[in-house]
Amino acid sequence: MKKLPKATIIRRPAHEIKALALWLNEWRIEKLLQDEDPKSEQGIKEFRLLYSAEPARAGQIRLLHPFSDETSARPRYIAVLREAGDGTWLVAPFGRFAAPAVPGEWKTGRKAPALRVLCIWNAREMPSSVLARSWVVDRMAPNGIAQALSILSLLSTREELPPALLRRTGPPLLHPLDPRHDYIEEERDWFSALSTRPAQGAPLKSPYAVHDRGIRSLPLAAEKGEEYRISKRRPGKSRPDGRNPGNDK
Amino acid sequence: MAEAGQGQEQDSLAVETAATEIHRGLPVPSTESWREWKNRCAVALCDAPVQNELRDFAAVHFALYLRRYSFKASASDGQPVRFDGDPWHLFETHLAVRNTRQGKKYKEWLFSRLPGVEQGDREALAGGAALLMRDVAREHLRQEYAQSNTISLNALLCGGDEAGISLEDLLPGAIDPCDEVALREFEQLAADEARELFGKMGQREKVAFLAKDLGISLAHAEIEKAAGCRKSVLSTSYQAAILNAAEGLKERYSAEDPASVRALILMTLQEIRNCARNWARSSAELETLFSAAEAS
Repeated sequence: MKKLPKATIIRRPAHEIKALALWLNEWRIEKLLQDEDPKSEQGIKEFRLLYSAEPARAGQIRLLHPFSDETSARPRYIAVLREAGDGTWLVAPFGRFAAPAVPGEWKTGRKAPALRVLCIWNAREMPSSVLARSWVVDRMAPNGIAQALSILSLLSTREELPPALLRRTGPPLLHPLDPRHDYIEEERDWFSALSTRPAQGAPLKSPYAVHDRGIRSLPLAAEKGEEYRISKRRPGKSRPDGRNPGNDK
Repeated sequence: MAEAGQGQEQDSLAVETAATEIHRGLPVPSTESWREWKNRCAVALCDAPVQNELRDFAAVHFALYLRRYSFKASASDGQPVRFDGDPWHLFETHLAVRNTRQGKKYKEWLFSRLPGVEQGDREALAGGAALLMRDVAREHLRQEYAQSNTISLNALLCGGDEAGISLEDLLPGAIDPCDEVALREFEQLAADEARELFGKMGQREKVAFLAKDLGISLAHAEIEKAAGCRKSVLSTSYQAAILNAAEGLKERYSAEDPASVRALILMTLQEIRNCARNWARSSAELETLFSAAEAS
């Protein structure tokens, strides 16, 4: 049996452990509730985009139009942080959970479930043409934007967050088998796919029929499938954002 | 134990049976009902038949999600899930970001998914609303069954009973940076352990560690080619390698302070990634992976 050198171990703060437990609980529930979210066979159809054409401004909170797989899987809210030049804007998506997952996720203090956590780590530049496919739903206060940008700056230089922000952000991601790695990958995938969409005016296909099979998740042989029809295609592996991995590029 | 297992099976059957009963009367609101709700802002302002249609829809789907949760979670917590309130109320309050028309643009989102043909519209609305209701159910379950106060630090979260990962594995303590001598000794020990572990790994495991270090997806074509297997196999190999490494270190230092061992495990796993990087640098075949990492 080998011996370890004598050392003082500094334990992680209790609030970090609690924050991680809260997040893991939400993740667990999410996974248990998920279905394969198949797309209907008749769900591909070109359609006209309908949204408000309000120009982008820093501080806007926008709901993305369901024009793509990523945005039709669930309502996706984003915050416009600042103009990034060349017709692009720095935007960050809001997360779906109440608890921030990682240090780059910030509790906004808002009560609306869709706007509780801003995923600053996932901020990226988005062309105005993609951003235009959204509705303005609310605004962030200037100090909120300033805080978000300050966290982004600290993340990019790998500096430690000030104590005041530590309790409003998620716990560190240390272990290679932490389930948060899967979450990060999913979130990064949908948002990066979205921010590289073709310019406005390019033909779009509606993936409107991405849906949860709901009541059919416990199917019966004797049932008739009259009104709530679902795809007969074999669904892909389930993903929280509802995307079909088979469509990934 | 056998009796408990049998009881659990019967509970599961009961859940399925209940779902069956509900399924026979599945309500799917008409497109006109959804439109009335959208135009009148809240369900309470709709005509009574429309209110009933929408509330029934919400109640059935909400109950189904709770049952799905109960059905799948029964093995782990076995808690019965009940709700006596109005799911439609939860639906409207959960989804609005403000109590204004602007704050209820989720309705526009829902209607923007319509294909524009009657039957398709009805299905698209039901499908979209069911997706929304899933988030509502998740939030309800989060509030009702928050485990933050009950989850044990050493309860296993993933990886199986024998070599699983616990909360304290995910957030282990660190060596006091002021204790420079101890820190250097731990770093050296972690490097030695990592070299030994990496040397015993196969090509798959080595490539997986490299991919993780370079931030490339395991599904990347170059990674699959280098590993000689598909992503799913590679992912399983990667997880197994980590769990084996951790378990081996726990056994080797079983007489030592567990917190120190956890710190060593994390440092060793990080060192294994460094080993993978050095290994790849010395191989002309794997050099392409560095450019793949830069491109991704």
